[in-house]
Amino acid sequence: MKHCVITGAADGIGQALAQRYAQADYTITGIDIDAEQAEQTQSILQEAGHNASFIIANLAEQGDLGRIVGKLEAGPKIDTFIHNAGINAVGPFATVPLSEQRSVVEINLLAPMMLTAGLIKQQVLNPNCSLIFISSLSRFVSYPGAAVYAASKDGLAAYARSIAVAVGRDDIHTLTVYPGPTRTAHARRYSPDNRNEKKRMPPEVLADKIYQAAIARQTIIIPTVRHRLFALAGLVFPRLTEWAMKKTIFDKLQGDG
Amino acid sequence: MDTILITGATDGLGLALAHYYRPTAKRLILVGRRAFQDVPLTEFDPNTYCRIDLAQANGAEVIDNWLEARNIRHLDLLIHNAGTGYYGAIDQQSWADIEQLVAVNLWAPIALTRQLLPCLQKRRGKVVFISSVAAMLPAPDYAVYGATKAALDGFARSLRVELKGSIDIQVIHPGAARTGMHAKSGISRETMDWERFPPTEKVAKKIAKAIATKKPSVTIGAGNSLLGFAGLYLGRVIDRFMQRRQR
Ligand SMILES: NC(=O)c1ccc[n+]([C@@H]2O[C@H](COP(=O)([O-])OP(=O)(O)OC[C@H]3O[C@@H](n4cnc5c(N)ncnc54)[C@H](OP(=O)(O)O)[C@@H]3O)[C@@H](O)[C@H]2O)c1
Repeated sequence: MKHCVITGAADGIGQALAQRYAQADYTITGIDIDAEQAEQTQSILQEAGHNASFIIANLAEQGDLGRIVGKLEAGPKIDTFIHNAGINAVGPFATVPLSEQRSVVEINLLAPMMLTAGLIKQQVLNPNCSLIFISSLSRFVSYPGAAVYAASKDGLAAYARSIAVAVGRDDIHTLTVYPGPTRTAHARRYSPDNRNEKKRMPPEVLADKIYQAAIARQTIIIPTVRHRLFALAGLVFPRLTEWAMKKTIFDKLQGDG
Repeated sequence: MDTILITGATDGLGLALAHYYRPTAKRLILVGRRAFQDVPLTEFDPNTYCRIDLAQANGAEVIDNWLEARNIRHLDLLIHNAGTGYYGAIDQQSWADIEQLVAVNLWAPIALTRQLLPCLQKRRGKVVFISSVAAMLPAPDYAVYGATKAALDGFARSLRVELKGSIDIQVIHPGAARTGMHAKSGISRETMDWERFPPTEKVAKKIAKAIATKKPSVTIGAGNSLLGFAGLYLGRVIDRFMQRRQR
């Protein structure tokens, strides 16, 4: 049986990924800070006859990262590791507390880099393993009102790209995902306007796309055509997408605050 | 004229930038981690030097307090130049080292920008991030360094939109320069013939010229611009090529 580890698996995209990989007969190890939600997700998976367990940990704590690597070392080797956990801190950079911004860097960027280094070093990855990094569509455009989040996701994408070249020689595969808004509590919490929630991609759909892309050993996915076009526009007409992001996100955030 | 703050001014490009601006700046503030007597800043007044290790969590506050104690409450130009590298295999880099790179290269500029926003706003000032062409290319031997530099780009891109009309935000991508950084990062002389890289005075002059423009993002040198362009727009081709070279 194959083994898939997912950070932030208790809820949202992570939970959908856990379900998708479980359906494909993977043993699931979830990592999450929310013990209650983790327990629920674990029960749902187990009741459906899947193999699932959780490690409760705070990715912003180095002690916890050490504990995660230790536990994974003791378990079966890993075939897929998904760096999914991520937080945001929205609002004008000048007003969002710096401590929150720091957690964004720690959880979204520092933790994945430390875990990846730790897992490779301790040799807990199977030879054909997939490492999956969830970056953000903001990599191609800007994200005013979440500049530190944008920083963390650009950093993660760049790291994934370097890792792909560095570990490519060991047959380890990497996939970087650039999702746009997804219909999860995360998006609802951080978006200035939820009236168009239905337009956001359901997490199950995204999870399936990620799974299919990983199986096909693709290296990059931008999940929808609309977002692919938006990303392209960001590369070719950066001013235009900056303006659009300012109008649709930042101005509204400022209006709230 | 201008009040300018440069981080990492005790060596390499930062030191060269300090020399470049010395004749014209009204007030130059230099930041570094070494003791003043250990830095080659003899022509500078010790009063211009703020000593702080930027890996420290409260670095930004220390700098702000230092400025306040000297009654410096406005800033025209803030250059985030301090940076540190690591060269080697992914799994050889210790967690402490990964943490240090993120702290100095990414977190310190974020926190210091935030802390000094009021001073910059008073002068409609400018914030410059010294990134690297490495941010635009895969960096298998210095993945964390590349990630911190790419993260700076992402931060600047979004912050620029937020602060439009009040503070200018610019990112500069130098290519390899003849500084001590390569040796400090653990690259041996045999691996990298750093003496063929352009000298710091030359690169610093180009950086200062770029700073004088309104361009939001500048890559230093034609060769580096081409590399960066290829890295951004021909991503997959470059990555495959690098991957093949690694085997
Ligand atoms: N050299 C290149 O090829 C190259 C290429 C692209 C981009 N860059 C970037 O350019 C910038 C300058 O690099 P450089 O080549 O001039 O390197 P350098 O000669 O090593 O100078 C780096 C400066 O940053 C300071 N610094 C490092 N860690 C610090 C800390 N924790 N607290 C305070 N100061 C600290 C150094 O202090 P010490 O003197 O005490 O070490 C030094 O003053 C960096 O951001 C680098 O990433 C360099």
